[in-house]
Amino acid sequence: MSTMAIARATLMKDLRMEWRSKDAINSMLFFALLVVVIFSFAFNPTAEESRQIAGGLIWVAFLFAAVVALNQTWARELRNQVLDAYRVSPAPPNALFLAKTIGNFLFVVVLECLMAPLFVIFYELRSVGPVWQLIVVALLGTWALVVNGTFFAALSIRTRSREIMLPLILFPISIPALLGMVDATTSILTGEASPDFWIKMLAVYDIVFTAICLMLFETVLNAE
Amino acid sequence: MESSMKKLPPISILFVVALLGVTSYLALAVAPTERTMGDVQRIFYYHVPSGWVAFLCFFINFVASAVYLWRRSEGSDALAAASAEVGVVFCTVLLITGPLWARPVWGIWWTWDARLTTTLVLWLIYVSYLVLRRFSAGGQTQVLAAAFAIFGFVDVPIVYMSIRWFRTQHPSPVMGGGENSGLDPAMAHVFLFNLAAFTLMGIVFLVLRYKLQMSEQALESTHAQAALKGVA
Amino acid sequence: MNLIAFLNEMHLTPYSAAAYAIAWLVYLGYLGRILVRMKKVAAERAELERTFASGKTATLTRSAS
Repeated sequence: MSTMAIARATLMKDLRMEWRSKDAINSMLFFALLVVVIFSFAFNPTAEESRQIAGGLIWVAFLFAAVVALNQTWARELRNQVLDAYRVSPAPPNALFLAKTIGNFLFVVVLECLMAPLFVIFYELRSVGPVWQLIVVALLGTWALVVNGTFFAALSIRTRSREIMLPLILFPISIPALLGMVDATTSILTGEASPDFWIKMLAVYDIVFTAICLMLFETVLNAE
Repeated sequence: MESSMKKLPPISILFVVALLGVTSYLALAVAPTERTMGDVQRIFYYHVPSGWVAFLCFFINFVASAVYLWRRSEGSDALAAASAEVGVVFCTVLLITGPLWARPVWGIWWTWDARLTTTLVLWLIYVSYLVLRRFSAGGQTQVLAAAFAIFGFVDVPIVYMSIRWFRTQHPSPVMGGGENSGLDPAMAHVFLFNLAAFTLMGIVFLVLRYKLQMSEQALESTHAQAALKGVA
Repeated sequence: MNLIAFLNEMHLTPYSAAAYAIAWLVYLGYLGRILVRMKKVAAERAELERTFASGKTATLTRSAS
């Protein structure tokens, strides 16, 4: 079976399991909601101000929610010795990685779609710039977080304090992507600047790190 | 063997103290006073060489990690571990001396410009590398750390470029033109000497830390052997 | 008297003195830490070798060739 076929099969399995239990999506949603509410205590913005800070708030909320999703990425596999089975099978490891990454990507994107109307309501958000640009930034940014996050989740499987290890090693590396996402979102919402550079930078970031992840995943999988 | 172990430590301590002493003396007594900033500028003679050694160490870590992934030799992993730690130490001095210089000269401890922020992020990345090494269990530490090191190093130019762009959009206070703008020859001599001395000091630290890493690794496998042979 | 003359020659300011003091502390402290750990490793190794030499270990005599 080809890489893509295996990836697709693994992905469908994960999605089906998630659809049945809705574990990940529920905890992510609740967490993001909490973050939004707590932040609202700190800021009581007018519509104008809210456009300035919303970019940062939105991405902090999504970042924390993404970490919740990422932490459970490999948990199921670990519990049932699936990783060992995978190592022994002739299936290409990248298929597993792609499946996991795309699965996480879909989870977080679904979360973002659910949260977006809430942000509009809570912060009276209305975008000055074109919304399609926001979507592009969201997709590129989410991939940036998720691709490194899925890889680092694999790195931290057998570490002590696994749940804190993942954000600890993920955040510093993700800083340029986070900066790009936040500033691009703010630029689009306020209409004050063009997000073009950030979109290009996020695209480069995505390509570079996806390539590195694909190159190194097999090594990491076999090391576990 | 006991006596040679006893002789070795004092030599390195004496050597490093000598290096620190000479570099401090040159920086604080010999170098001319800077016209605009005054004597506080002398921090520069420790600040920049520390940074140079830190970046050199991080580069060594990158190369050693890549070599490890390719060849799986204990030596390259030990060098990776050693260079990350030594690099963090020098980077810490960089991050402390910087604000101590900035505060009296530019009135602020810190600014989020491209250079400083990238340095801080660099420090964060390699500290998280060290945490990953410490917290991961036995066998796979080396591979995982090496993989992470690749990510970290590749990220650095990206970090720098994105913050630089961010700062052209949202300017913040900038501290100082390049330190090398108009360096008086007497200052250049002291600076270059300190640069060389610090590099030497960094090498000493690196070699010692590498040796320590190798012996700790050897000890661990000896312990494993002992366990196998049923020693209490 | 010598110390004062020496210090005067040194062109110190509060901030630069702090910076240099911290640098010395960090570098020498780190060096000390490495050396202490090296001593510990050597001691542990000696201890282990003593245990091996004393013959308290079980050896595989009749196992697979």
